[in-house]
Amino acid sequence: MISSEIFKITRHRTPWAIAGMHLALTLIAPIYYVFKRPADEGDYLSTSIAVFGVSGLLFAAVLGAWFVGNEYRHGTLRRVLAVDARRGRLLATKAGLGLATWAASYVLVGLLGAGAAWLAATVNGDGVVTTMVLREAAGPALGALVTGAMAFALSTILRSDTYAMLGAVTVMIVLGPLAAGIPTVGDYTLYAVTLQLGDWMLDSSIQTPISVGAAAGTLMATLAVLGAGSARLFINRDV
Amino acid sequence: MKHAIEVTHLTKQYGNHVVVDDMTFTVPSGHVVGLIGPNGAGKTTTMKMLLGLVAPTGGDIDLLDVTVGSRNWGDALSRVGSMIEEPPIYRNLTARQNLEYQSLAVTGGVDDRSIAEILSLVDLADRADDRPKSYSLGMKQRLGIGISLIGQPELVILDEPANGLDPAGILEIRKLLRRLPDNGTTVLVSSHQLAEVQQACDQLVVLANGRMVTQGTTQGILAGRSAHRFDLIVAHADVEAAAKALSLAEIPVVTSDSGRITVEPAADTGGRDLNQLLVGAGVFAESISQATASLEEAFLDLVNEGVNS
Repeated sequence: MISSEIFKITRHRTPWAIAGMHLALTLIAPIYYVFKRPADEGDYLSTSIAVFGVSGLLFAAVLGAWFVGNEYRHGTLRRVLAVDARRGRLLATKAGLGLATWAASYVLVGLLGAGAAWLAATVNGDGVVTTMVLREAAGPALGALVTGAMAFALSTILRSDTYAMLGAVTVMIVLGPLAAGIPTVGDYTLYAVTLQLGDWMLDSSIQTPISVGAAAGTLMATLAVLGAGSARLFINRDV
Repeated sequence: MKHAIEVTHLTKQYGNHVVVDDMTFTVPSGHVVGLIGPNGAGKTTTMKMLLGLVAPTGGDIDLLDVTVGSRNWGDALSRVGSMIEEPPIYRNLTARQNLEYQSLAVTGGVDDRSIAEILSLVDLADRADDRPKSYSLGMKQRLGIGISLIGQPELVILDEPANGLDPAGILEIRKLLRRLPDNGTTVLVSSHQLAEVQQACDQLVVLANGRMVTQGTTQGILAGRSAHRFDLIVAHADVEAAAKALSLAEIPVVTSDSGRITVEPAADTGGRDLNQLLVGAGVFAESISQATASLEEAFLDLVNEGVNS
């Protein structure tokens, strides 16, 4: 099962296209800075990280929704399940390989983006500020991971990659910020706790609305409920 | 193994709606068996239950001597090829890659020779390295059937494999299906193309309203439906006289077309009686033969009986 899923992922264009588009967007800032020098040396990396982070969140939603949703959309899941009926194992395999694919792609694009930023600075005779790079990148990475996981779970519930992707992005980018205005409850949404943990990773002395432990617990519990619910549906539902 | 599939009192209910109602039938090994019925008869749902894609509300299914859902069921499932509703094709992979992927999924490895054989069998060897996006509907159907043959399955379950095909495509699929039992493969195929089913399948299971109406050999079912019909061939000039004689004897005429008269006499009236009747009227028939109903006629009769029972 694992080898056939790896075969499918590596032969399909979608993961490569997503990584390629993510890289293309991440390279925009370094290329721009070659022609127009930034006001501050810190901008070389921080601007790249900002673009990398926002686009990474969107591409994580596309990739997360693709693994199962694409199979539902094209009717190929029936054949997969008619060959091997171990649905729980299939879902776990897809989730694990999805996470690995996302992580590999994210790290590779991040490194190439950082390399491009360093190259742009070198061309301009500047240096790059690297002291906060990992902290700056950690928050967006968490946001992308949560969005991708949500898209994956939604694709098994909605049986559609398109709706799952839109659903995950809507929850993280539209509903989350809107719900943040609701007293107390707004601090415990998936968006809010992800943002708080991202802020804490950037600066651990920062004052967050709820404790880091509560935010991490809420995040884990929400993802666990979403994951368990989607797995239960995937295993028991007629295809 | 006498039967590749044994279905006993199979039922599927969605809320109050019964889709498959206490269905019992068998699929003998080494045959091409047609599962036919009008829309909504429960063909696809039944096939999905055979493959474990849909959970039955009640009843039992034995697939290759293993009960569906039991512990060893996975072993049986790996010996079954299938195509349900649409060809399971990844459009961004080439035909060869699609087969390689399925080979990995079914057997755990890629056997290039076996894949080449399947490509040749489904007549896609020349287009093996093209993406199915550029394929015609018939080519996609053929690739879907090719996928179902990966791993030399003992049983192949195909849902409407000739759907949307032109006559040449239908002929190719028929030839392909007829060849499969030569290797010991049992085929269960559902189709609306009754003329094709008649030619491709040696056994039939007829469904209506979620119930099994009848099961048997294609010849047996057709013979059972046409035993009391006769085709009379008379000279064109004698048609009127023959019709008058038949009418006087109160023998119903089913069709009459350019000297060919199909009649449906009482059960105790045979060909010799019809000949005597015609001779008595001064008509010498060129031939009198027992008519064979087409599968369409037999199917409609059976379905009507099934609906009214």
